[in-house]
Amino acid sequence: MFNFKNMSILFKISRIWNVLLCLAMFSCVGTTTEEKYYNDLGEIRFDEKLDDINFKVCHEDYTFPFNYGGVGLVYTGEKRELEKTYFDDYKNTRIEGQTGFITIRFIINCEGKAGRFRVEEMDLNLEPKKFDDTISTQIINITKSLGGWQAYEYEGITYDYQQYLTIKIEDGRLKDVLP
Amino acid sequence: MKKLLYFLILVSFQMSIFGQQNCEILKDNSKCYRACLIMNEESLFRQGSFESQKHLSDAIEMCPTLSNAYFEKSVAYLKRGRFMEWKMLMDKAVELNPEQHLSYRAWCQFSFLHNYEETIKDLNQLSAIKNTPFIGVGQSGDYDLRMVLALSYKFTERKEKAIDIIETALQDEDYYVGLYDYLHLGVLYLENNQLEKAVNSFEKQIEENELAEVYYYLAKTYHNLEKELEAKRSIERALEMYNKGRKMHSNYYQYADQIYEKDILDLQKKIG
Repeated sequence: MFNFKNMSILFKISRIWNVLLCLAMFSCVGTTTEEKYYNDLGEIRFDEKLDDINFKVCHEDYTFPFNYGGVGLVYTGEKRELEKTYFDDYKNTRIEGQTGFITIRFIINCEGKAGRFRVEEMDLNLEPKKFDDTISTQIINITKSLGGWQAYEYEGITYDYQQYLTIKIEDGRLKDVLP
Repeated sequence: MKKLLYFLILVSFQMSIFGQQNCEILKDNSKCYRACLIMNEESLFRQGSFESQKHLSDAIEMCPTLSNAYFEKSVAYLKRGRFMEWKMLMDKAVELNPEQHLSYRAWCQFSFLHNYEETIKDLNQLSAIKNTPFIGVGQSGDYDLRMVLALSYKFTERKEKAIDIIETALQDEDYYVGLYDYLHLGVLYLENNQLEKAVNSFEKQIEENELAEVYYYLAKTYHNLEKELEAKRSIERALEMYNKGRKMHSNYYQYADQIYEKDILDLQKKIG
């Protein structure tokens, strides 16, 4: 388990800070209709149509992006191991025009397990695009098979966090694993 | 005290990244002036929190020409891998004020997405607007944007052009020497089989900013030059630096020419 003290302190303070500021300023009610969420723009809520009911999170209202704080991507064997899994398991087939990015956002829960996968497919101009199923299914399955994630733990309490991976595809071939 | 300082840096990084806009310049436009004040209030909240995004949406609704509000709102999407939403907002910011926002869009396309052709397009457009050799610095502060342009050419198989841009830029007295410039130039020379030049560049990098990567590529270069003793010493130094944490690192993206422990160990095995 990785341990980054500042991240947890930061979130505790920011929670209190937000409440105090809202109370003090009476300005939390604005004019626009904003997407509602508990704590963070990147949180992923349970969807019974998409998600495994057995995948649990410890703090439903409290997930944070993996890149906040001071750690970044944490994976057993580092980035090279992560890349290896994709490059070993993905079957490259040249298919002209199958170029762009597939981003998979998900949660690493307090047990270090991954779940609640959400997929976004886009072209190089970052406009929505639908890849051939042979490509996107492979990418999703490889992502779900990754086993090197680690839970975040601080002072004996484990937390859930948001992770994303973006896969760059060029003419059907795997080009890059990001970040 | 050091811990407190570190913590404050973290907090500030997760809030507004450009600081506050001077709203006084908008005083003649009461709606945009008010929108600007609302936008600046956003910096009191954590980036990506509901309150933060809501302030920015309200500012945009009140003054749809306030480019910084689109920009600030986009950043939270970027950091969470929601790239389509990020791009829509950034495009709007660029449309309203290309001179101010093209550099950030280019930088993000480069660092977060390795979208090099788009980076080149944006930087060339910015260059045409500014019409000066110096067009700005990447958002992380690590790079003159000419280095970002050069690396984008490198990763799209135009290494000679990349080398030419860097060599020319380094002659410019306005050039902003970044933390890794001589490393990147050295790697380009190494890949172009200009080995003596590569060694010289790596030596300059060691003087400027010593890190695991430079010793790793120096070891590779010495190995190619069949200087095995120097190669062995360099790769040992690379591992030592890596284990001490003297390496390239970003929470958000992987740097160009960044290495990992496995790369060092594999090269060490090869060198023997």
